[in-house]
Amino acid sequence: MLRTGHTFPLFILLFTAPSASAVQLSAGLDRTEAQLGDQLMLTISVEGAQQTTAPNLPPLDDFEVYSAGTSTSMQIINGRSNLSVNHRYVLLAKQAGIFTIGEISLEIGGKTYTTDPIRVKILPADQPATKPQNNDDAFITATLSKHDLFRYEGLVYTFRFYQRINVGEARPEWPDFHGFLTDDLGQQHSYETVRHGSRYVVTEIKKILFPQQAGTLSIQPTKLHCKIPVKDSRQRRRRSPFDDFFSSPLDELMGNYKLEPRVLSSKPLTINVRDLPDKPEDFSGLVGSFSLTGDMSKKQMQVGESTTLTLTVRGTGNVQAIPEPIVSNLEHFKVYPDKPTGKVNPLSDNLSGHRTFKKALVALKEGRLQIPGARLVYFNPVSERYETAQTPPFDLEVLPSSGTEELKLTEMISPSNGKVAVKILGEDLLPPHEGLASLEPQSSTAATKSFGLGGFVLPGLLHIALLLTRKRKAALAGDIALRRRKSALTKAKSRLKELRALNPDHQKRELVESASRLLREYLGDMLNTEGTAMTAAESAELLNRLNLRKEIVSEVHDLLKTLESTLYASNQNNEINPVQLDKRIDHILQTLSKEISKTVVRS
Amino acid sequence: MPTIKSIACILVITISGSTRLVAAEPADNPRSQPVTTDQHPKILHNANEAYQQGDHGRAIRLYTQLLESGLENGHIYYNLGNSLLREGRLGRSIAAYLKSARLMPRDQDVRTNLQFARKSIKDAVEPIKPSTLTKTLFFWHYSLSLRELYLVLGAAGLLFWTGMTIRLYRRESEIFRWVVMTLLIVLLAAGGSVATHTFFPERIVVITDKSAKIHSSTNQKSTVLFELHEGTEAELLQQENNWLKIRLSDGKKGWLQSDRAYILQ
Repeated sequence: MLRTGHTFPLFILLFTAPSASAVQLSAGLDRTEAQLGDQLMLTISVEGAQQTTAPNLPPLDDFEVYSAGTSTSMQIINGRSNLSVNHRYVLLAKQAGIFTIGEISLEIGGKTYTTDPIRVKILPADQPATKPQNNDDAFITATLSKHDLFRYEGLVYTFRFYQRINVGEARPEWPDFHGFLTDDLGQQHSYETVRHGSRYVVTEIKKILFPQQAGTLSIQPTKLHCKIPVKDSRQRRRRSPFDDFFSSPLDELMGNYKLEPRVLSSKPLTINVRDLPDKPEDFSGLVGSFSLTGDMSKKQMQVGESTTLTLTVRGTGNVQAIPEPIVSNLEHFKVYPDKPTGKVNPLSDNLSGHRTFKKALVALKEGRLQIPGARLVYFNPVSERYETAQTPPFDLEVLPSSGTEELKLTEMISPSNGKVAVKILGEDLLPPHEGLASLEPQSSTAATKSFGLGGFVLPGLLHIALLLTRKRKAALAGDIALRRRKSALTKAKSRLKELRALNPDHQKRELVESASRLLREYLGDMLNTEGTAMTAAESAELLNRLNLRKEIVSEVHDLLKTLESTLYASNQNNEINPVQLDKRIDHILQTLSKEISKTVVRS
Repeated sequence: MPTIKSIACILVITISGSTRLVAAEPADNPRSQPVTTDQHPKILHNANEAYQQGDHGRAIRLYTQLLESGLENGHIYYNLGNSLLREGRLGRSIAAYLKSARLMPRDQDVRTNLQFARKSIKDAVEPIKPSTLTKTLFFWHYSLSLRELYLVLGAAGLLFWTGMTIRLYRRESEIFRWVVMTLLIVLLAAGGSVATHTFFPERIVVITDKSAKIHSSTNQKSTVLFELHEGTEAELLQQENNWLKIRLSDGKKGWLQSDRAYILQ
């Protein structure tokens, strides 16, 4: 049975080749009026072309341009297929005004196609566009807690990311907050809210900013790079009676959406920062609301003993910058300051915190001593005045020393302080390396390379050579025939030398006998057989079995035959000439060695 | 596996000699005589003094003079990186630190200053670096310089083959067998690393202009896909005329004009 539901569209596709229709290039924006900070989607459509390159965009200096990908779709109407390729770009205007996006060109098949220019109106950030933003599935906002404030006064920058649908791979790109000191204000958190009748999931991130300069400061937009699911136009098709029957629920749920990259942007913000009025000489640099408390661990002590003066500054504002309060009139004490400790807590709209300063004071003089109260001058932005936080004076009674002077400094390093995390106050480059190690070459020189590669390869080759030699020796030791063949020539040559020492005139018989034995033993060694009793006919038969050349076989046969005749027969016609004998034998030895070795290797 | 194109690219880069970190500048030696090894300590001393006195421009010239005289040393690249960063030349300082890290991969100061420099990069793009798992598995590849790898290769080769030869003549103990096996592993590891450095070198591009547009093709009129800023690092995929095809750590690709970046080989 034909499974119509899935094969039918495929069947249609197979029999509808894309028709060669005219190429059309068009470009459009999703809207022609927007606010500064809104994103515009520029879609460039190419219809009727199978393959296209990326279009050439005109100079777009007034916009930030991000590619949002390319999609392809095919429509089949009455058997005619129409292929369209959409190139999408996200545009973010850099300033308000009326802009023209010039002609966009694309070369297809040697012909250049262009689009008409597009005009777009960008309104200032605070002026609403006449048309609402049509893509409100996800958007971001950035707000400030104050727009008019004093220098060093904290303000909260709140970033909110609204999403009505599930947005993927969201990544914020923060502005550089030029002119501000910044700190995170708590962790990011999410909640739900209803906006324009729709339920949104909101992710909120807060930062606290402390302006470091007076004047009008601007904060560039925060951008959020993300991927938004959009309906995939390629999946749309006319519904047929088969659709309900064959479409799967999963396809409905998943198949009709694709993720499209987007860049969401908040609006740029400006604030007016007022400089602080005439600063008093002892101004601490703090702006906010602060209090100061003080305590002396002992009010009576002997000369040489120590007491701990503890000063704690608490408040709200730029608490990271709390300096040590001013304490004067300490000339009768030896002072050992301890490291300050403290904590910063984020509030909903500011930073609060405290910092504790401890000093061990060792009395140097007896008598009733008074330390004036500690002071801290700060600016209160609510009252718009400089205010002073101070402690009451500290009275001490110092008695004469009872014994040897002993400085009890343990009180200063009180373990009850607890340990605190080291706060990085500043960062800088580590200093240059000045040692003479800087003058030693560290790159891989030719010598290093030679050592590395040589050490890797050469001993390996030597080892292989050694291995082969040992193998050869072992083979010789186990193979008698091979050993005999290998040593045959050497042995024969040594005998030949002895033979040459004989006098052909006086030792003719010994000469012939030795020559005959030499030749037969040589043949015996070469052919791995008993050679001493070998006849000329036997030697020819054995040599013929090795398919040696006829000439050499007959030469060996003839010589052996002649030698036999000389020794045993009375026929003087066959007597051999002893003068040429050694040369004939030498020739036979050389030739046979070569030929028999070749034959053995071949076999 | 690298394609023939990418191998050709390596050759082109090598031949073109685009390894100079700082463009040719007048050296302290007005007659531009070649610097000899004897002069190195004096030039180094002067360069360090110039850095300490805040004359970073002179320090850069002197450190460059040392490097151009053929002295390849990680400390010099590190000092040059410091001077370039103090001069506000972020991209070239990062390139110098990367060069230094290749010669002294275990130096903590280089890593610290490189991290410090990277904090000033505008683009939120992670630098090209191997995963922690890869770095752990192939720790020797990332903690030894090429020179050290060559030395390990040579020493391990000599010891391994000596051990193999001894095995031919005497009965080996269990410990001896383990030693030879360990040497073989060291030999293969060092050999693999040297081969990787030689045939598949890591090619990094560091943006040296304040900003650089990344195009869709090797044509200035082509679409600008995105923009990168000084100091951002990318992987070099291909080189064509005066254009470099790069890939960021998040996978974005595009073409960049070669005069806007420094190629680190």
